[in-house]
Amino acid sequence: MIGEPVLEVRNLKTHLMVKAGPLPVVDDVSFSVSAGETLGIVGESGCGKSMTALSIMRVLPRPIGRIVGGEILLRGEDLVSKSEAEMTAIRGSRLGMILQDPHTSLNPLHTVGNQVIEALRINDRRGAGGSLPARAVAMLKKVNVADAERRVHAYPHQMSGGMKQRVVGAIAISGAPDVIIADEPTTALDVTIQLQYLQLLQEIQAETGMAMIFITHDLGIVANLCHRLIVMYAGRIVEEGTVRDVFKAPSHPYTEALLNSVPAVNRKVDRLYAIDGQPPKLTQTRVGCSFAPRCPYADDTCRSLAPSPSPGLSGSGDHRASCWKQERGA
Amino acid sequence: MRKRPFFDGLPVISLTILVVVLVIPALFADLIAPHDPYKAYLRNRLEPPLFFGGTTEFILGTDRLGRDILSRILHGAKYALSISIVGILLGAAVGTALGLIAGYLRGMADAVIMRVVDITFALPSILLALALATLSGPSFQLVIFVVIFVIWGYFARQVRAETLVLREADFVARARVAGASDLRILRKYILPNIVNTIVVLATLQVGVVVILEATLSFLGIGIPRPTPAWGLLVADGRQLIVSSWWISFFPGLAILLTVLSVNLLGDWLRDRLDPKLRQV
Repeated sequence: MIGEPVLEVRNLKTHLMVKAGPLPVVDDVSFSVSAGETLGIVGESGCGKSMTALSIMRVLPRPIGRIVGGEILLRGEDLVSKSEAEMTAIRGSRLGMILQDPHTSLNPLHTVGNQVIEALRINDRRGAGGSLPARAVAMLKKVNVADAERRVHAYPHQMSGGMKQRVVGAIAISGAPDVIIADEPTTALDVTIQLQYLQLLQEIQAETGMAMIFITHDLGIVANLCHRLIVMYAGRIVEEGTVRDVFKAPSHPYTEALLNSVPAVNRKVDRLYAIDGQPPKLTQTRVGCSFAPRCPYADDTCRSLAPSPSPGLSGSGDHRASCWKQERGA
Repeated sequence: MRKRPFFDGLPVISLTILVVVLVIPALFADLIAPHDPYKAYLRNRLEPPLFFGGTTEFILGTDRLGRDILSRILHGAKYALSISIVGILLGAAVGTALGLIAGYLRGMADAVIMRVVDITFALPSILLALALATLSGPSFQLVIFVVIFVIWGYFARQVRAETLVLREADFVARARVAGASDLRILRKYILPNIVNTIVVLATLQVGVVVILEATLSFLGIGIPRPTPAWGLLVADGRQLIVSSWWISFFPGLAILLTVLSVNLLGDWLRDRLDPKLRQV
């Protein structure tokens, strides 16, 4: 059930202020995500996926990370202009986040039960009934932690990675957030647990109707889990659309290359496909399309003028790509 | 096969010496001291210790005014212990708080705090104490102030270094995105994870503080006379060190034993509390 847009990001620009000068790690990024919808953000390492997430949560690395432009509207309220105290109240209760590595995401000194209780206590918006320990057990049951009554007393080192990630999930949804951002939550888990965890996220989403932003570089997960997807490259969105449209008709050469990089199990190949070259260094001033140096279709226009997103691909207004060569294959 | 340590009893011996030389005298000096530490037995001046021609009346001998050295040492422990405890608690509190702020906030706060630490390390503390003593006269408070001034920087540096590591820890990031405030993160996530370090550092500082207090008293800018602070007792025997060596020797021995055992204990504690060195 996809409902109203909950989170709208408009022209977000985030810089990291390093010695060499400001690094535009997120450059003019706009998207929205609706209640009950899952939005995938994909791209290779360093493309700005995580920085986009940290910008939304307003937890950029201090003191060097800075949002220098744009708006982040959570149900119409601009988060960019919120004070740190206001953001502290919003984080956890209206915006939740699941981090990549469950093994290091929990405080080693406290039992998992106490960490869930802490989250329940700080993020309680509606004053739900029941004692905190009982609600912590209920939260753990909700994320399918077996034997939750006993496990609340366990320390993180006594649990497996999958269990810990469930606890992290329980903490993230403890405040019943409108939006949950999952930053590669299954990368550190083994494959069988990955699937279980993704199913769990889907169940929770179906139950609560929260919007989900799923950051990954696993296109298989995107295909199975997400409704729409954004492809990022060098801090910019190069293509966006519904999963069906983008997978069927990738309109940016980078997306095409990413899809080609996924090894197919039903074909025997000698060499796996890899995209030549490296992503551009963000310290360089960029002229033209960022992907041009690695793009097989690039010409002089691509190298001198930055393309703007053109909508209306695949016969819908939602699928757009920033490329001069969209008519290439069609 | 893991080799047994050469000798396991070291911390026990250190602790015993510490309790016998410092803690028991500090707490019960009034009960166990054979004489009043201020009372001058003028007929028994410069009496040597037992086994060196002295009597059981004054086991460790007497000083120029005929005061019992043993009683004065026992009473002196009070000052050594109270200055160590108060000074280190305050110094550790100041240093830890500023170290946490510097390491967690980075940026300007970090730069300012750490430069102040550098400055305090560069300033000769004895000269500072001398200057302050000429302004306000020697006092207990002055000694505490100098102790805080000398040791807080060690705590600030160490705590900042560990905070720098911990603030990047995933569980701190997770706490932040779960809505924990900065204060809560410092209190519940960072401080508990560096308590070990603070305890070890505090233990190792006891030696530093005892020496510092003795030095200040020896120079006459610490605890004012005629209080029997250990440094003062050593200073008392300065001119008679050749003829009546016991006046300086026994207080000096008390300082040596205290500092040595507290340092050994601190080293042992550090090895025990460091998970990297702890054998499973």
